[in-house]
Amino acid sequence: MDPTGLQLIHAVLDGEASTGQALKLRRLCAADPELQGLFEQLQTLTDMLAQMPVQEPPATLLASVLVRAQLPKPEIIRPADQLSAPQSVIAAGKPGLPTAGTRRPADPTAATHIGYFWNLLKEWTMAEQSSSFIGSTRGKVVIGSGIAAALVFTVATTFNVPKEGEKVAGSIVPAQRAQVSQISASAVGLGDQQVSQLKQTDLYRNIVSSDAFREALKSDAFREALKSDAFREALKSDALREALKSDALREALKSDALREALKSDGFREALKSDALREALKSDALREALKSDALREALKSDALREALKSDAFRAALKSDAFREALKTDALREAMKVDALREALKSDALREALKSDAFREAMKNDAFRQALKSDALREALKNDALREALKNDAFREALKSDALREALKSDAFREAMKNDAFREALKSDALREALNSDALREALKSDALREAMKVDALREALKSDAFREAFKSDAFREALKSDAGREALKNDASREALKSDAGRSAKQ
Amino acid sequence: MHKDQEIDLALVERCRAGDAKAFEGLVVRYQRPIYNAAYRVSGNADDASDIAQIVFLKVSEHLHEYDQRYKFFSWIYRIAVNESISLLQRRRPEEALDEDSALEAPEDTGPEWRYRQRQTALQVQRALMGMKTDDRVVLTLRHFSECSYQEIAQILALEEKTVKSRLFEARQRLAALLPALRPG
Repeated sequence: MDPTGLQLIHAVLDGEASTGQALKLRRLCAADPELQGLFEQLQTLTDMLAQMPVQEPPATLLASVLVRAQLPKPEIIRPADQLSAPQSVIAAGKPGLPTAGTRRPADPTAATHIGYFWNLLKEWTMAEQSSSFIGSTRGKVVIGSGIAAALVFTVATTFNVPKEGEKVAGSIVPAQRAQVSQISASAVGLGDQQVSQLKQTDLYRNIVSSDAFREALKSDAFREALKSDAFREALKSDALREALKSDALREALKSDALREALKSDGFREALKSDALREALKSDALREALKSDALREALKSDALREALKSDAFRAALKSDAFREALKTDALREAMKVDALREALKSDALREALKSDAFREAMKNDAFRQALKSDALREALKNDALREALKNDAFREALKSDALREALKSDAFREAMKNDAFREALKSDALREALNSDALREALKSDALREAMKVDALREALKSDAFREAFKSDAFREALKSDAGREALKNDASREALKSDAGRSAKQ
Repeated sequence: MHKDQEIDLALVERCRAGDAKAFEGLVVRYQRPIYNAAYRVSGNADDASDIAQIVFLKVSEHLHEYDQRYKFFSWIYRIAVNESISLLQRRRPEEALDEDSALEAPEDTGPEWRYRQRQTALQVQRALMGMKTDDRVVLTLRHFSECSYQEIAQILALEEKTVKSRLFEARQRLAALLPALRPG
């Protein structure tokens, strides 16, 4: 086998080939069926690899790494009193690399320090004093009580409060670098019993272990959102708490649709994605989140990545599009810039209602072809969308000539014909579609039917032959087997340049 | 400079200054790709998780050794590849493929589609695990991590032409191992 051909195959598959190299490969493949076979085989392999599912890392990975990593930790503040485990912090575990093969995740509560909580309450108190959330005329202690009470309310209504004495996860070691914060539980209006209960809740652990959560509590929108059952329920999710670091998300929490969306596991999980959180700045997206299909679809990496595109977010306004997002093929297709850009077109979004079209999305050539205005416009046509069920046709869409031809009504009409779609596998035919005469001639049933014949498709390489299509008489002659067979002959095709020749062909 | 590298370098600088948040940012950015690369090379979700942990811990420990003339991306992938190979050398062959945990298609697709996707994914992963580690690494970097020839060359410390020939041959060997791609 030609070693140049082999190299070109791999370069084309890896997207590293120039247009000239791709054309050269096409020529080599046309002349060497073995090379063509190998190309097709490796192309299928590449497609299979591209469709392998992306694996989600375990939810504990981040926490495990952060706890064990050898980076300086923030200063730890510990109250002098009111701690049921006095003089303690929860161990971060021994820093350093785990031994090979260790599958014991680090304790996610290991970064917890009880002192953070008291300090946090103090911070809230100070912050609230200068905000309008509660009122600036009220004293620090009273305000602190209000916040703490709100917190206890949240705890009581959202999380299971462990029974007294139930052990909180995490190993306890003596504090080494503790500083004393003078604020006490009584100073914020909590009784010992409440403190004890509070400290043993998931929420408490969330607060002390999550900077994001504490930061979020400074936001009006977040505190408002806490009134929503759905949101409080959603706060059990690590992904959401992590996501709360994003200003965009906290701002977006003002939207009912978003808070409602947080009921969905898929959506909360999706919030791990920067792109999605950023995208939440878009009204269109927040509105679109009312759709179950969209929230479910957001489990897909490709889709979340697509959210970076303005065109994509705009497209989310369309019901058809959101519904279509239920299909794997479309979500996978969203990885392609060209497609996301193409979503600006109404015709494309409309086309997404068609099963055939969504199925076609699995094909790389087709997705690339969507860069073409002509194709997107042509998608308004039922015949074309139907034609997309055909592999040969989708593959043929790699050809500029074919995409150009799609501008022609005659051509799109021809798409309804099976023989013609099958014929589109032929390079010669796709190349020939550059000719106006041929596209016009495609209005003729006889010609489309004649496309089944190899000789005819081969003949299409000849300018003279394509020119001859302008003649009705010639197209009529193509109905006959004899007429089509004669086209194998060069001399015969050459003769077609003259009127006389075309008449003779009859 | 590429935007991704700019972001990485900014995070690296902050990490070196002791900013734990920046380190968290690096982990969040790279946990999925590193885990996926480790999974494809090791064929096992637990191993991939171990490898990813070790990679990030090594990053935290050796960040001062990272040379900013090179892409952070290449550096962390090189650690991941080395850790994956190291783990495979220690592991017994029978511990290899984890067929249950990691080849599942999304829940929201039709059962037939999910079944077909799962079967295909299983066949591909089995075939990958039947290959030499070097082959699997180069295929992983190209097809799952979507690295260019140049990036693979940097990660594996090879010349680009060696990467190409290794990748081309590995791809043909993988095709030969897949029943669906055998002629006839």
